[in-house]
Amino acid sequence: MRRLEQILIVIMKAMEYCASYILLPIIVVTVVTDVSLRFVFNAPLRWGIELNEFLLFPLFVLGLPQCCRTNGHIRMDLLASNMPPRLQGVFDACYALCGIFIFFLLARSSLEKFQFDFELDRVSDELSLPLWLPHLFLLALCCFLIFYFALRAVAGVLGRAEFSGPITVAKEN
Amino acid sequence: MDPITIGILAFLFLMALILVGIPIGFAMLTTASLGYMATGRPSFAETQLSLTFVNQGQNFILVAVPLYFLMGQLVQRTNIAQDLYECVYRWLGRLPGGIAISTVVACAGFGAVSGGAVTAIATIGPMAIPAMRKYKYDDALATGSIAAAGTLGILIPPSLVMVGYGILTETSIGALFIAGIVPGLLMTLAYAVTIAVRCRLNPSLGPLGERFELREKIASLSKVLPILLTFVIVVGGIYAGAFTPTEAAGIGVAALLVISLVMRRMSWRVLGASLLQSAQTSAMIFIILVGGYMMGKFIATTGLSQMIVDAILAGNFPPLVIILMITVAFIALGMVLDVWGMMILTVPFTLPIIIQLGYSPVWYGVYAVIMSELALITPPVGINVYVLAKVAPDVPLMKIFRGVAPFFIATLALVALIVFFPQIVMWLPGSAGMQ
Repeated sequence: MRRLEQILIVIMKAMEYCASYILLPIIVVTVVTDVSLRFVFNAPLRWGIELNEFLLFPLFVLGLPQCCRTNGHIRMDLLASNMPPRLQGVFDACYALCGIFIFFLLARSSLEKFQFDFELDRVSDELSLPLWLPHLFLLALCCFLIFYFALRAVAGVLGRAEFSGPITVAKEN
Repeated sequence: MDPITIGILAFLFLMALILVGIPIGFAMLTTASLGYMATGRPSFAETQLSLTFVNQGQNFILVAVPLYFLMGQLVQRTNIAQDLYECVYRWLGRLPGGIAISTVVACAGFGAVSGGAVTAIATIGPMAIPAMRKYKYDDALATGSIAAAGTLGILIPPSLVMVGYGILTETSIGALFIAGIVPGLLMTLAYAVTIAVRCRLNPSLGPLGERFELREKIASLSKVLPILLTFVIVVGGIYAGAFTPTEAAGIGVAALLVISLVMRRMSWRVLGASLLQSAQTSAMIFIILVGGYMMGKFIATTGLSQMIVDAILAGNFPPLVIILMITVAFIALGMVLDVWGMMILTVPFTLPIIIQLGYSPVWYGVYAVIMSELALITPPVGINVYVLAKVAPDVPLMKIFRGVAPFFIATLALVALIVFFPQIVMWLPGSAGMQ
C-alpha cells in the first residue's frame, strides 16, 4: 500500500506542478498581453479569453488530487478532530465515499458529453479547440480520483494513515 | 415527498456531513446531487454537476481567483509588505499604542494588494510582535490587534471573498470592490481609534515607540510606493472602467513582477513558490465555489429559500429586526465556520430576504463580508487567532481571544453604521455608475 501511495503522490505532484508552472504563467501572460494590446494598439487578442477559459478549468482541477490528499479543503473539524482515531477513520471513509459519489456522477456525464462532442467534431469559435477535450480531461481525472478515494476509503476503514495527509483546520491564502 | 421537505432534509444532511468533518465543498456537492436525485431526476443531478463544474471552471471571471492569490503571494515573498510596515511604523509609532496602530494600517495596506486575510498575519505578525515586545506592549493588545487587523484584507479590495460572493449571486464584482473601499477605510480607522483610546486610558497597554526625524519619515515614504502604485493601477483601473476585475488582477500581477524585478527581489525560487501556492489554494476555492453554486441552485429549485423569505416577511418584522437576526446568525455560525463556509452557506438563504427588504446585493455583499470577517476571530475556530498563536506561541490562546474582543465590538459598531447609513457603502460605486 505504501508503494502505491508513493506512486500516487508522484502523479498528484506532477499534476499540481503542471497547473502551477505551465498553466498559471500562460494565463497571466495572456491576460496581460490582451489588456496591453487593447490599450496600446486598440487590438486585443480575439482568442485571449477563449484560451484562458480553456486553461482555467485544468488549472483548477489539476490541483484537486493533491489538495484532497493533503486535506487542504475547507472543513469544520471541531467535532471530528476530537473523536477517537478509529471514528476519525470512519469519518474519513465517509469523505472518500462522497468523493467517489461526486466523481462517479461527473465521470458518467463527462463520458456522455465527450462522446457527443467527439462525434459531432465540435470546436471552439476562435481557436478551433476541440470541445470534447475538457470532457475527456475531466473523465480521466474523475477516474483517477475515484481510484484514489476508493483506496482512501479502504485505508480509513482499516484505520491506516495512507492516502491522507495531516488534517488541517483550514487553508487560506 | 414534496420539494420543500426534500430541501429541509437536504439541509439537515448537509449539516451532518459538515459536522463529521467532510470538506464543505464536497458536502454541498454530495447533498445537492442526492437532493436532485430525490426530486426524481437522477440524470438531472449528473447534468447539473457536470454543467456547474465545467461552466464555472471555464468562467473567465474566475481567472481572478488564482491571479489575486498570486498577487498576495508576491507581496508576501518579495518583502514589499515589510517595507510598508517600516514606513507606517515611522509615521505612527509615537502615537499611544502606535506600534499596534502601525500594524493595523500595514495590514490594511497589505489587504489593498492581496485578496486574503491569513497571509497578512503570517507576514506582518513576525515583524510586529517583536517590535511590540521590545516596548513592553500588553500581550492581549499586541496579539489581538494583529489578529483583528488581518481581517481587513478581505474587505479592502481586491478581495477574493467578494469575487466568490459576486459569482454566487451574479453581482458586479467591480461594484463590490469599489463598495468595499469606504467601509475598509472606516474599519481601519475604527481599529486604530480603539487602540489609541485604550492606550490613552491605560498607557501601560501600549507605550510610545521609537522617535524618528522628519527626514527619516519622508525618506521612508518611498517604500510605500510599490503597494500604492499597484493599488492605484488595480482599483483605480476598475473604478475608471479601464479593466474588469479579472483583467485588473493580471495587470496587478504584472505590476508586482516588474516592481520586484526592479527592486531586485525576484528570484526563480520566489516565483516558483508563489505560483505553486496560488494554484494549490485556487483548487480549494474552486471546489467550495462550485459546491456553493450548486447547493444554491438546488435550494432555490426546492422552493425552500422562497419559503423562508415568505415566512420571515409574513412575520411583518421591521427590516432592522431582520438584519439583527441575520447578524446574530452570522455571529453564531462564525463560531464554527470559516469565512468561505459562512458565505457559501448563508447567502443562498439570506440574499432573497435582503432583496425583498429593498437592500442592494452590493450593500449586502459588503455587509456579509464584514460579518464573515468576524468568523476569523470568533472562538473557538477563529483561524486568524490560530495563525497568530503560531507566530507568538508563548501567548495563551484565550489571551489572544480576549485581546480581539474590543475589535469585535468595533466591527459590530461599523456594521450598525452601514445598516443605518447604507449610503456609506453605496456612495462610491454609485459615483462610478456601478449601481
